[in-house]
Amino acid sequence: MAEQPVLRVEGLRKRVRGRWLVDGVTFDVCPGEVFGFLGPNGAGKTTTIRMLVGLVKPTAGRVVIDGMDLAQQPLAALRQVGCIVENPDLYPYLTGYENLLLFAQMQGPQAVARIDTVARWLHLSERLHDKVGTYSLGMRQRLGIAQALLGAPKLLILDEPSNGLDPPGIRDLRHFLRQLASQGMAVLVSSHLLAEVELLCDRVAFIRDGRVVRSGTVQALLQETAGEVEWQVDPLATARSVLARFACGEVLPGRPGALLCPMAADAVPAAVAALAAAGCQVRAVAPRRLTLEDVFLATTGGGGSL
Amino acid sequence: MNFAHLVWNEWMKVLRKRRLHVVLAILVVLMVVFSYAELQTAHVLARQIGTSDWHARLQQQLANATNRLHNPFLSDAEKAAIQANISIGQYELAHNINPYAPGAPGFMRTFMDQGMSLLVPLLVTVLAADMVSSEVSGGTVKLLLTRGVSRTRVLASKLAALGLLVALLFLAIAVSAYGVAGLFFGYSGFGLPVIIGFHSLPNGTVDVSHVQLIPQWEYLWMSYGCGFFASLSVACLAFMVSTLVRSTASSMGIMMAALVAGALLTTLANRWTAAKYLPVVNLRLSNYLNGSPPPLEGMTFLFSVTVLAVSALAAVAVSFAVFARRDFLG
Repeated sequence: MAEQPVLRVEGLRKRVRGRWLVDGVTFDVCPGEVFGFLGPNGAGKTTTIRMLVGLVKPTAGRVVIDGMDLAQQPLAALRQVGCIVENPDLYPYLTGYENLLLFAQMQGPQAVARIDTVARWLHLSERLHDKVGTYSLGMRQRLGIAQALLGAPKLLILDEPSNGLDPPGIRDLRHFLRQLASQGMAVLVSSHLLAEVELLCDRVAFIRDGRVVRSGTVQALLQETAGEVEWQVDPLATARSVLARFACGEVLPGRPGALLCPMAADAVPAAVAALAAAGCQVRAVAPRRLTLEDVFLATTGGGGSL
Repeated sequence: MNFAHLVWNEWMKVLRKRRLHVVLAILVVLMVVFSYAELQTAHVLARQIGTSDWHARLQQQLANATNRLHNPFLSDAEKAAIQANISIGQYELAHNINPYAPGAPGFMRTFMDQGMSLLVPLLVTVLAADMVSSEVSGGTVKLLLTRGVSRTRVLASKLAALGLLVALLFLAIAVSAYGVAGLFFGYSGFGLPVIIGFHSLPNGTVDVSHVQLIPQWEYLWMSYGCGFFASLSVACLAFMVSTLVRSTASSMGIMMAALVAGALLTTLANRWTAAKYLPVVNLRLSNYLNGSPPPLEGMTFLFSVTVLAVSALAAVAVSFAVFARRDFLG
């Protein structure tokens, strides 16, 4: 990574009443990338995010935003950040516009000037002057994102942004966030819905019991993780003993004339060559498509679901 | 993001909340009820005494008070209170001042003198109790504190808006009292004389050396000013409670319990004089103007003002100290 990361998190820990809610979280987010912060509910995602935006003081560790240490220059650092923490909580008794105006005024005249633009981006213009109390959750989510973008932040932090969105809404949000990233914004998204993040994020970190258990680009994680590969091969008995050398588990019979072998995708070419050398005829190799969920389950040994 | 913008933000929130609208509606309803009650009282008294002449009514009251003086169960302080009332009545008779003179300004005066014992502080509490706690329970504190504005400034803007809000409440009390009572009693009477300066002593005698007559409008300025000052102090206390607890309901409950306890202490436990250091028993500053004896021995105008000011400053200091350090863990 040649670029200077917009967000650097180093050894972040938080202890509350003798319990470590967050126990060693380290990651970077660079300009132009969408970073997924993933884990089951209660793993420490939200506590970490609250520390990133200064709502909670870390017990140990450092947060550096755009080169500024959050502990030393909290206000200057926070001006580079737009965020939604947990729910998109806004004032229900004010209109959408008034809510935006309120937070824009806290950030200065250039933020006030952006209100209309940002509202248009998120398709809020039509109901901007209705009270937020009458908005659907999806609209409130969009208003929350609009609010987060008012200050033209370098880092956008969204906690569970797809909550309350319908499938088309989720797709729109995905396109929108990718577009922001392509303009150079760094986006940090937390989620417990892995399937959705897989399509959105460039890199992810898995957090569990307050620790980052695995991180990397989505592609690399999928590559490294052993999935199941279906082999249609003859003769089965020979193939089974050959494949066992490449498997990271037991090779099992699949459909008639096929074997199911748990193995990394990287190992497939070598296995094909070995089978050919052993005189087997490979008719088809079909890796079952892996998902981030498989990666997560493999990482945590299958314990606990998301 | 200058400070005026922050205060304007808070002010907008306050004005748009249903809470304020309810308080204003309550005020108007109360004014109607009290005006009607006062009108009825005057009618009934006139029927009982047989005349609507105020001299007769005042003389009846004085005779009544003199009888009560012989009650052996009264403490010296209670005797002093009655003695002070008698002196005022006699002075009014001698100088031909009608204390029952009807009119909206007189109603405004009674409302503030009586209301400061409980009603007005309660309304202040209703408004102040959710200043901070509503942001925490509504989750909006997460945005408020992540916009690159320091916590101290955010809280200071809220405090400033609260001060304006109390001022608005007093304006609303004055306007609604004048407007509603005027329908019942007429709108004139700002120039009527009011006696101030009676000073009842703990031994049951009354010092009349500072007695003077002032026009009613001047008295109104003084008593509303006193009420405003005491209410600001209540607002600061409620503000502190609001920063300390999470929910608006509990912050309001705590403050109301304190106010009611204060009102009860002055009437039920008036022998426990250490209670005078509690801000909630020092709220009726205008009593020092109209000659009522202090609720507890050893209290003076200056003493009460000091207690209120010190407790308000302490409350503000605690609020800022706690708010600046607090973790918002959700």
